[in-house]
Amino acid sequence: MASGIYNRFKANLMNKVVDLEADTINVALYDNTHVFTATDNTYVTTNELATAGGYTQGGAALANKAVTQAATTKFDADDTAWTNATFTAYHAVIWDDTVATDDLIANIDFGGAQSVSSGTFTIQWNASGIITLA
Amino acid sequence: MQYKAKIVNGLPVILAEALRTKNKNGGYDITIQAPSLQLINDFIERNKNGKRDLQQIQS
Repeated sequence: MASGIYNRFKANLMNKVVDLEADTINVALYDNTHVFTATDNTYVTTNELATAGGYTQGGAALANKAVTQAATTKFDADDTAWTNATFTAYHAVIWDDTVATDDLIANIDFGGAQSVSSGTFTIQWNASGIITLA
Repeated sequence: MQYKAKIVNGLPVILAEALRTKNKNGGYDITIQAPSLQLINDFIERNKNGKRDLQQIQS
């Protein structure tokens, strides 16, 4: 059970593979069998929530992505929401849908089952940024 | 908000927090408040005993 950043993302930054503002960055939701493993490289549908109850596999694209340069540079975006939703999720995985290999970026552990019923499931990204680099 | 954190297998674990509210549809909405992920993890420091301390992450 963990939140963290995938090693592939670190390498992709250094190799100029990822552009967090220009690329399509998705957030996918996973069940309780998903385990964050920093050495995983690519997005997979294994253990992802099925397409049902207001969720579509692949996840939702981050909107209004922005990188703000500072001593602590941050990557941020609008909060992500699934409406008319009925499902239970345990993790969110952020991945790059523009890179041909669908490379992983980060994993957020919800700390247990988080359920929505005929409502809106929202991930409120931290005011400090989704990812920071200091 | 402060996020709960602990050490698992020597690695920091930061957990998201969630708020759930009833909605007018008779169901409920949920909002996950995600932690900010640090690309360089600087919140583990070794203490004078050579062990690791865990500091709380504050958003």
